[in-house]
Amino acid sequence: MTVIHFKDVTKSYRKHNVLKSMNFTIERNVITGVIGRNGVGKTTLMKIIAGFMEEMSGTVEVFSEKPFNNLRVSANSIFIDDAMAFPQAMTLQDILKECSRFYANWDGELANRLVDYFDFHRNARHQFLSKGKKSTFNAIIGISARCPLTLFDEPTTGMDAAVRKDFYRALLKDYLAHPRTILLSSHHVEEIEDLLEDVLLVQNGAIRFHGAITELQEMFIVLTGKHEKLSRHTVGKEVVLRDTSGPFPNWTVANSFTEAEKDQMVADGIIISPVSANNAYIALTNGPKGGIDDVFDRTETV
Amino acid sequence: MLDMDGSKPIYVQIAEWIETEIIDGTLGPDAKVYSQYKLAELFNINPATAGKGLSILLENGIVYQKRGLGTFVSPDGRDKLRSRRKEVTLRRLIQQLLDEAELLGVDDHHLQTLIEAERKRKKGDSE
Amino acid sequence: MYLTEPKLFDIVKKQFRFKMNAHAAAFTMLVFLQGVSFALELSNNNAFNHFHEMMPSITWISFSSGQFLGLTLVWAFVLGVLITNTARKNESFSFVTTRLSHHLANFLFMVFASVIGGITVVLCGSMLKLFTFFRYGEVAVQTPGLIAAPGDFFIRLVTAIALVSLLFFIGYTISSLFQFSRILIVLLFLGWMTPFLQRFAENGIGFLFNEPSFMLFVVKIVMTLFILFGISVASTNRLEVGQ
Repeated sequence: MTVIHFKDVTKSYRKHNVLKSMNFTIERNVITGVIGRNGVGKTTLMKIIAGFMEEMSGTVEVFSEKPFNNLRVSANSIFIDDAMAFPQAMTLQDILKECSRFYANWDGELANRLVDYFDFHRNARHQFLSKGKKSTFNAIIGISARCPLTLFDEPTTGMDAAVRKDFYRALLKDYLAHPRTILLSSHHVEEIEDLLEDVLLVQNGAIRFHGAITELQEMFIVLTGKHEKLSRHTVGKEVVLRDTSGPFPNWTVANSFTEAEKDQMVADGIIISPVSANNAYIALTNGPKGGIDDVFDRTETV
Repeated sequence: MLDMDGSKPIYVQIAEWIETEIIDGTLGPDAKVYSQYKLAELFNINPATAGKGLSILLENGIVYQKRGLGTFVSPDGRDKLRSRRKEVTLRRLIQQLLDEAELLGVDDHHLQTLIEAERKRKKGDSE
Repeated sequence: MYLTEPKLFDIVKKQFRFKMNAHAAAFTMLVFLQGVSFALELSNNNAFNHFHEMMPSITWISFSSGQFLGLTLVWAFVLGVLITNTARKNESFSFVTTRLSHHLANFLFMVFASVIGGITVVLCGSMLKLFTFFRYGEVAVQTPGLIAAPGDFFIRLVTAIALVSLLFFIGYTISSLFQFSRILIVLLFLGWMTPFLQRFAENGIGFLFNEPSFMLFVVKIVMTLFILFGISVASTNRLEVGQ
């Protein structure tokens, strides 16, 4: 079953085109990572899905309906980010109580256990929490609401490393017990890559890649070895990243090698390894620009 | 437990982990293999990725699936793994050994005496 | 996970309860304001002693509940502005809502608060009377109260509620229009200076308040509230959240 469908969706603020012709479909009960550099339109995309913002043209369907001003979409989805606002008069306990009335699948017991685990005072006020604590509390709401469509926009802002790890683990465990459609945006791909099934890579307001995370990883391989050997074996191949920071250069290359070519390289002493999703993402979004080292290479030769 | 730095894709690592469990006898013939959800929880990864690990084993006939019941070790799963490891893993190790020997100028006879010596030493250790 | 099929009425009810919790402080504020004006009214020496050679002395005390009403109207206007500003709207959207259910919940909240406001204004007046009675002993109370003239008491109550709700909705509409377009508010303010709009406003006020029939007055107020509310909903129904 399709949960989210975008067809030729555009969105702009004043004269800046944030989304230019977005096309994708997200199926039920998949965890999709919405990844991309800062300012590429990840938040706008998710806010359109949540019904907070309205597309300018194209078709957006969430649960087969246009999400903007749609009560059914609102009741079945939740949007979590660090800017979530709650009334000053309400304590954390009050907020949890409101959640239990609004969200049909709300698990109050889980919420309470998480609140205790992360050392919250129930009588604390949301606006006086530190940035990381605020994110943690919002994330607890996002997990406990068990909405069929759960949107996390940079949920770990301000959390320390241990809490981030706990959050991802909690999200995975609850997802395994209660599968639902989850969108998780982050520019720290290395943190979320194991959690994801699919990746929606946003670049310049369009979808650069959408598919299984393993597919993204298999688009590239890393070759480590002596420079001249690497050069010889990659003739006619697309080298996307040349990392010269280690003792041996390692190059990230588009994976268009045949098994025979790979055997030859191994025989020649080149080490072949797969790329992490994060490096594949960097390789894909960097394009033919090379890496940061190239910037300095040019300066040095001038 | 797993090599998260990604020298191998995670689902390959999971497949290899289960293979080792089968080879060392932890999982006998027709034993139930962890479900993809259990694996996901165990390794803290997405169940779809864990499922990919299982499907590698399924494709190779190491495990079989019973609809609605789960995944089980094939009766000949262990033998298949053993012979494959002989063919593939052992061959690769020998290749590496030969490459290294060539680099160091060790001839075949010398190599054989080295292997014999190592075997004797190991026997001595275990006795 | 199954999908829930929400009913608008149900969500409005939940949003209304949420707003009651969120704006609980507004009622505390009202009680405080009434208390302050009560104290002020009492401390004012409105007692005049009239002496006449041939007559026994009369103590003439005049007071009015105008002060209570005035403060409550200011309270209503300010609260009307505050409950629909962007921050409050974003808070609604932290839970289940659409723009419409957010407005409808605010509508219910304002009606509820107007009734509370209206009742307290009238009750404060009555309390003041009672207080004066105990303070000065025997008095001939000139204004009729609930027992003396229940009809009059009822009319005062409804009038107070009508006025409070009118100010609520004016504040609410201005705040909504402000979100829709800041320039529009500036233009309206400048337009206020022009004779045309001034005459329009005067006529409007005249239309509402120079109504001899009480029933018609109430009908006119209710209609005005709905028109103002309609303007608020229409002007903000396409606004985006969290921007």
